[in-house]
Amino acid sequence: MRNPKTLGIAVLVLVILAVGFIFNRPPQPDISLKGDPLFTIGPLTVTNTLISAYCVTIILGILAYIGTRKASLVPSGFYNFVEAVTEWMLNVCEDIAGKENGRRFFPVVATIFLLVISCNYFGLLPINNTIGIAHSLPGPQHEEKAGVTAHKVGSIWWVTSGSKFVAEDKEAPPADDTHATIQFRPFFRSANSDANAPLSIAIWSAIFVEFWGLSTLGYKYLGKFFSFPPFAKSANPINIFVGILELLSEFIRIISFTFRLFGNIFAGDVVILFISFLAPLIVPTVFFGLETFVGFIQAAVFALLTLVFAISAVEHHGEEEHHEEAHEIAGAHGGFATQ
Amino acid sequence: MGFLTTLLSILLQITDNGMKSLGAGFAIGVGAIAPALGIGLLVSKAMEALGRNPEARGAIQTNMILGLAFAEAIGIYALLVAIIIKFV
Repeated sequence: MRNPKTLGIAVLVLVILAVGFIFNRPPQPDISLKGDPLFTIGPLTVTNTLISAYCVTIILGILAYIGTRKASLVPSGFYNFVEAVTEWMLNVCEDIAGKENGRRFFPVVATIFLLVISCNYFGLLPINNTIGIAHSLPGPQHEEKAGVTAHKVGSIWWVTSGSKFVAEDKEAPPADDTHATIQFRPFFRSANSDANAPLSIAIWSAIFVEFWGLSTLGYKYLGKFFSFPPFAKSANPINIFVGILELLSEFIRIISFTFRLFGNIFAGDVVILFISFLAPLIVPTVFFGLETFVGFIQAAVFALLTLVFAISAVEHHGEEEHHEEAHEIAGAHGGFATQ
Repeated sequence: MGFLTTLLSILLQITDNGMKSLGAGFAIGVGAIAPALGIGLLVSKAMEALGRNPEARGAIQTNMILGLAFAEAIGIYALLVAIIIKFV
């Protein structure tokens, strides 16, 4: 610590922190659980999370198109990267599910992984939650509405630090040319921080798992849920009870997938907004790092869980140890971490 | 008896917003105990298995991450409830 260079860096960091704290503080965050509606197209309300999701989809489509133009034996640069990612995902699928099942499940599982990780990483870019449109606050209402103060500098409105909670039965102070109290709606927001996106991905994952089970085992797949003839061989009361629980657990799995992804990404969004409010300019770096890690892990977990449930769905019914079997298969070839 | 009436009068004076904040605090405070313990147990057993058989590193890691997701999800549910109570 006596080293002058270390001391200089420490002093610089403190100076930047102080400057950021005094002059450049973001305002107190205004958390909304739903996506902020921006405009309507007919009956459809377009929210900022919808815009982010579509941007991610378009970018992924363009990258996929560009990445498959030049197929050569020894790829280079961008093509090499695309092939490396695809090969890694295919290896994971085949390691866990076996050769042919792995190939069969690969498109959906890889799509889920790529979509979720791209949405998460797109939601960490600086355009999120910063640039947006102002909505004037409504008149006296019976609930509290959070508003932020905005100043006009030149021709751009800047949201300044400090937010005002407009209490009931009071109007926001009237706006003049350079000051206003508004409700701020950003243009971009992380797509998975709206509960609808994880819900839709979870529903599709459940639909595909059921489809694979039915297409492999036929109507006998329903013997897992309704274990009486003609679906299963015998009508054991214990098996009937277990079947009802299995049916319930299919639906509960959708809820659990949704809230796992939504909770992680939404809470991460809130944490980043608040830490930028509390200690701007240096400390949020650490939390962006955390969010990067969490984004990757949640995408991998979503895809892996879909894969594991698909494997247990296409197994022949009669082996009561579904999950142990799947986990044993997951261990057989070393898993996805041995790179 | 006097203590109880004092306590009751204090409790009855808590405002709506105060109750909300208390609820949010309890939700995440108590709700994060069990997932943290669960994850600690999970990772400790994984470390033990890794120590016994360092060759199975990939398999142990994969299954540990899988189990981690389930345990973490419960903690995230608690955080979600706290955020919803406080801000919505």
